[in-house]
Amino acid sequence: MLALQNSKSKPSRRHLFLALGRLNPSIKAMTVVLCVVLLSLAFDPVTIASALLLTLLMTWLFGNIAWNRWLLLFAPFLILALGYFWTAALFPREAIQPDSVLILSMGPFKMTNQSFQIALALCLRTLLFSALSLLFILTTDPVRLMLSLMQQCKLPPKLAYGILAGFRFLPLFREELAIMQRAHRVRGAGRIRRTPRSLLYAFKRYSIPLLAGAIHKSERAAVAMISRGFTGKSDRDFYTRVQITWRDGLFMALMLAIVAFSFGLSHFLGSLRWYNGEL
Amino acid sequence: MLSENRKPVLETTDLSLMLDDNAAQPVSSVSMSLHEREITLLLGPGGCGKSSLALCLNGIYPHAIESVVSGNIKIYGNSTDWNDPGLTAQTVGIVFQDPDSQFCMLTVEQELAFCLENIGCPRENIGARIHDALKIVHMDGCLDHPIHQLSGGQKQRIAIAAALALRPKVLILDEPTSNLDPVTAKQLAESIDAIRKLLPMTILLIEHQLDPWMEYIDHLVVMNKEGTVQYEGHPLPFFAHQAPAADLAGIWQPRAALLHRKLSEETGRLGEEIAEDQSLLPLSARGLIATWTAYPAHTRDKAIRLLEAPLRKKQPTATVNKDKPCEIRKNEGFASKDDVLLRANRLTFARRHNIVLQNVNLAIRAGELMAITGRNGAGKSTLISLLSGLLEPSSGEVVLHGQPLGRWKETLLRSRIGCIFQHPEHQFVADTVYDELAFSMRLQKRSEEEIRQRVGELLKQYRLEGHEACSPFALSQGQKRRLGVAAMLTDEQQILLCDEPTFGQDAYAANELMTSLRARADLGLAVVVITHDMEFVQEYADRVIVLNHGCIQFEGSPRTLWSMPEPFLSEQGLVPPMASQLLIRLQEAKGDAGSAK
Repeated sequence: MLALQNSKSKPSRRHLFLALGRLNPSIKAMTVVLCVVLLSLAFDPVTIASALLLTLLMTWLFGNIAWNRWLLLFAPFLILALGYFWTAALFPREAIQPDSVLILSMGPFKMTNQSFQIALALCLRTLLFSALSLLFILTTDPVRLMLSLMQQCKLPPKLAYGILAGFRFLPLFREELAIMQRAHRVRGAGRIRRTPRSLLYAFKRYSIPLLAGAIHKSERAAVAMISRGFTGKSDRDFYTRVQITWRDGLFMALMLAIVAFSFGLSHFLGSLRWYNGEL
Repeated sequence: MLSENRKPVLETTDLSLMLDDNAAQPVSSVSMSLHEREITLLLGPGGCGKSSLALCLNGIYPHAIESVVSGNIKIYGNSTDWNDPGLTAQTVGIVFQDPDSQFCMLTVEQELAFCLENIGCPRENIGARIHDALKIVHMDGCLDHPIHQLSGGQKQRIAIAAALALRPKVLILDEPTSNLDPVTAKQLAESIDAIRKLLPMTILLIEHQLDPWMEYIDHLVVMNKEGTVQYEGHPLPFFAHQAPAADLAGIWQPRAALLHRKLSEETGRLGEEIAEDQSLLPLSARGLIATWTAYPAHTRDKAIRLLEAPLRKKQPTATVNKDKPCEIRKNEGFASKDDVLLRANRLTFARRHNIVLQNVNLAIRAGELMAITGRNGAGKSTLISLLSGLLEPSSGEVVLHGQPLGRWKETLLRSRIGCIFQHPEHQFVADTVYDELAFSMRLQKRSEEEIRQRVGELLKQYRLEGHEACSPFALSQGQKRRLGVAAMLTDEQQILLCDEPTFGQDAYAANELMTSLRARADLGLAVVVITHDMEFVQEYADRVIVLNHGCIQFEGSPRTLWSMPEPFLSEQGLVPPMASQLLIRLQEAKGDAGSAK
């Protein structure tokens, strides 16, 4: 979705057997959600690590995403997951079973095998869900997503085209805020003191013109849409049809196979553990 | 186009628009008609309801925006019932001024497909109709282009194609060229003329910049402040007889007519023919040139002398400007005319690997009005931000009084350099007009009494009396612009940078603004103005810089710019002002006559 914003970082077009970018966005979204739901039932490092690795493999094989971009977006989740790991490992919420093996001891901090397992599972879950989300987000064109939602999920066109029109405005807002900050600096009103009162004042000073501008823009966009004959009727004959093909079925089957394989592997190794409300 | 059996396509009788508060009628009892294949120009002072009228004609009022519309609209003699916006869009298409807020899809093809899907066009035909529409506006190669990457002129063409794809009978253009550079505007006017001849298309044009359009206009409708039609008919009689009234109302007039009148007066051909025969008043550059080259030789020579005089005076050499009163400058504490206040050295600016400006060198001198011009997206606004220290250059430096901007204290810097932005809304910092004007004086800790007096003067000078307690955002567009300028001018900055200050203003306000900027320059302060209007460059600027592709392509007096070869000018997106076009043609005619002898 974000890939559309800057075409500079668009990677070269490869012809792939199962290009994720050309799949039906609705089916893709459904598959990802299904995987998330199923995998959230598991709570052991093996199942989740295996699913994570296979998801990354899918992204790498069929995603056609620039890796530096992927890493940039994945990095915050990685940091979050590491933080999660340390807090959960060193300060477990549940009482540590006395028979759990102590694997690390640093002054007052003690990490037992059990808390390590839980922390690892939590950390990997974060990574897995973000990897699945990125798999969807980075390979989906917003226009195709909306078209597909209208065609397959019967989303009302009024809503779908409204979202698309709004999507176009996002970069404009950032630009406008930057211009306004500069304009206020020229007036000698650029510096904002860190007192609550002046912060509130600054918030008002920026938000009113931004909102006024937004209302103005959206009004004009609405008028432009209507003057192009847009009525919001749902019986449209779409020029671009986003169809469901065997590739979508294959993708869903592959993803479900990943889930099944992960559960199977963990079961085979005897490490499978169901989620039981741990945090 | 002026055949006797003109066929009315769209007729309105007593059309009035009332917005829900009942108080104001932006459009009141408008009766007019548009004829087949004609371009009708709709003129009127700022905020007189031209755009509202356009939205009434295509049914946005009252069906999409709550309002009461009375009177009726007939298309080919049939009363219309605009209950189906899809049907309306197929009858009356509209293209808006702002190219950024009239698209709702990301690529050209998606946008056009969106329009055709809206009207229920069968899927099999959509591809062909998209292709046809793009071909008419000469954009058939850009099917997959993202709209936000197109230039301003290309965006307007796509907007026109989107309207044409629906095959409307009437096309309304609401200030389509106001954001465009002169050559792009001229090309757009030419292609609209070609389109209406190609298709039986009727066009209603709302526009302030008349010059590119004048030669194609068949019919004129003038609205007054009250929102009623003041004049309807051929453009000539209006501009010939009602010019003073139009001037007073702030209605833009064709520059050819203004120049013709001025030259006629000064050459002694004072309006005789105008009084006798209206058809002699030229409205377009072409007409003006034809009229004057046909005059006898002695009149032509006189005209050449007259035209050369102001052009020569504008050369920024110290010798010519000596006759200006030096006392004023001394009072302001500036040494000489060539005093460089601000200097940019090898300025380069890049935004995410895109080079916006490259190696720009320039100097801003005291007592000079410098114009910056160039195509859309040439980096003019970026240059202004760099010069005022609001953006940091990627390399190079801006030096003010011998010290780089980075080393100036912010408050001191702001009291030296002022900046007027493209959209006045961005600059407002206070809740009321009064506070807005008092803002910087309060920052300077002046006494409340002094502030009140100064604000009173400013309110009067910028025609904002009675609005002291209003929110700046509640003002009309022209008032906002004036407030923005007034608020900036409360400080006596040495350098004032303005980004398209006359954009969206009516003729009266624009001329007044340029005059006040010129007066500032004459006081010994420096003024830099970004503009697309070559007439303003000609009339007010001492020096002009043409910026394109991130580099300065030309720097010098306006006069030397106009004497550059034609291909250079059109490559830079420039059309020389009327006077200079006429002068060149008159000199050519003289040369021809001389060689014939």
